[in-house]
Amino acid sequence: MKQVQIRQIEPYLWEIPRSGDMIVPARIYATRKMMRDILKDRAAEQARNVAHLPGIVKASLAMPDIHWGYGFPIGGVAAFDANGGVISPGGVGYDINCGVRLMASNLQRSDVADALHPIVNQLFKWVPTGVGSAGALRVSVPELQEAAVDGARWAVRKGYGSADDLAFIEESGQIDGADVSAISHRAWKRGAPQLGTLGSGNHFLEFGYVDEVFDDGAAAALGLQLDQVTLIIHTGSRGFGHQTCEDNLSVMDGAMRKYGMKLPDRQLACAPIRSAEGQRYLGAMNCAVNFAFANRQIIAHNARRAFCEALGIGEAELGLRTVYEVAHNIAKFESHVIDGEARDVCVHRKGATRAFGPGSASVPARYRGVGQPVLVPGDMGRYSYVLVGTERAMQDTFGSTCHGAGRQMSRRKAAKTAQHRDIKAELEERGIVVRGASRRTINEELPEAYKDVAEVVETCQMAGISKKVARLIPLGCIKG
Amino acid sequence: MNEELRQHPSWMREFDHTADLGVEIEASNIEQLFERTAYAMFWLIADVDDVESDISIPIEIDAEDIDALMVAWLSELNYRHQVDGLVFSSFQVEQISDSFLHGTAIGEGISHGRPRVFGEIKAVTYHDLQVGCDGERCRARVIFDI
Repeated sequence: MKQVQIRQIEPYLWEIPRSGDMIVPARIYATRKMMRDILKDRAAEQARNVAHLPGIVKASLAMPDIHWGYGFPIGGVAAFDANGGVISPGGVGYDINCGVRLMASNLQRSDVADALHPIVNQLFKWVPTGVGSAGALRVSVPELQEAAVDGARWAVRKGYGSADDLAFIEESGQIDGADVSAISHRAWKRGAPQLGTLGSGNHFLEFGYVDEVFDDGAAAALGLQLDQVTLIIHTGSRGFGHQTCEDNLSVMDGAMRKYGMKLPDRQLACAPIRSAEGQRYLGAMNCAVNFAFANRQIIAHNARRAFCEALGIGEAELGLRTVYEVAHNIAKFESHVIDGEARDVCVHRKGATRAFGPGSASVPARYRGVGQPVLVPGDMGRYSYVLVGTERAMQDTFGSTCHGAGRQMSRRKAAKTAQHRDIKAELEERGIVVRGASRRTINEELPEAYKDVAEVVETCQMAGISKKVARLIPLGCIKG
Repeated sequence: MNEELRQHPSWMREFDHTADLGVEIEASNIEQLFERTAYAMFWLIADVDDVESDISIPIEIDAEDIDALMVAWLSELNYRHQVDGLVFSSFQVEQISDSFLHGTAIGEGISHGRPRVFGEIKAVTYHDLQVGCDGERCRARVIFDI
């Protein structure tokens, strides 16, 4: 590993000072203990590499769940001048608009205590899961093109969920600027059978209950209360997004030569935002963003059906409403005050969540007094957190915070650790019913494979970039 | 066989990457390096020992340089797997330069749960990619997004 010079500049903030061709410093949010682990792999080096990208402003940032990705670190946030900066598919990732939706029901923990298996089985039935999962619904390419432009709105038009969901999704579930002509034949083909599917890897559906409330006012605004049954959906744009990223990486590779850019890692390939290549990627990426919004909307609708069937109740009684949905692999144009001046920037968040503070016009009116809700899933054995964004995040991190626990164990090591154990039975003993498309997925995702998300969110709270609202404990989970 | 208990081919080594998976491949010439890396990719996600040689697909790839050629070759095979439901277990590289490859992938279509597929490669990354030969010792290092 290349030597990384790093110094602590605040109690929870570390800096790699500018050197060589770095345009700005790199800054990582972490405790001292976390930093020791972060420096064991190449994530810090990756945060420094991002600081070389043309047009980057202020700093290359990394949240406390930072870990080694490809190109950008997972947990990376970088903003580029909207006119003179670049856009990088590597700064968004392959799973474009991977994100999380939190839903809250009218049910109490005691209402589902005897139905954990039926709920898990119904979720498994209604939401295709696992390697190459397909078949929730078949759409033609023209229909898929509509979904790529209209996102979750398209799904609602098709009868999946209600218009009430839309107000509580980042960007209201639809982003402008989708250019269907920028999508390859291959991406349409990969995407066509995958709307409404969960996929594999770390994607999941998890239901649980509110176990602790840290901020009564914010919890009331979000409609969360103790013992209330909740649902988390974590998935993205599936093969459609992967193909779109792949198609554009090779275009960007050519653009690097064309515009005479040289970077420390080829996976950081980028193009000026205003160039033909940059605009084409943006148009394509926005299609994949909308695909993911539509995907999660369909899954939310089917999850409602699963709960109703498992419990023999109607949707009104279930009352499973969308609390909020965030994107955590995305690049978006936003206005931020930088060195006292409002500037238009393109913020890349790769494994990081938007966390706008109170008063922001982008936050639904119902939550504007407390800030944008942020959902931070942990692992399937412990807990997840609900946070809200802060004014400090607006000042320091382009309104961003962490997105999850962050892996601490490679998939190979996790599989080895779990090899002679029955993870499913271990979790069931703790009252958590898990069903996966394969034993392998469950093993690779065993709880110890992840950092303790409590430390991650605590660090964000201490650094002031988000505020804890509630903690959720899992009861049942389906894995890809 | 349980996929966790299978033995790697001697020329293949998996290495740890926190979120994803990496492989290092050794070969005695560049053709074999591309063939073995493709085999390794399918070894990671499927029961390659249980694949019949029913289908033979010609593959032609153009790329900017040898690194991009490896990414494009593996991506093409992964695309055929994901979209056409094919699993390959044998590869022949017939012609190769720094920017062109002509080869054949041999395998079978997935039907009624076989050959068994237990993993998914979302993408082949450029991160930390190494492809090249030093005399008769060729080596590739590839990280897959899974």
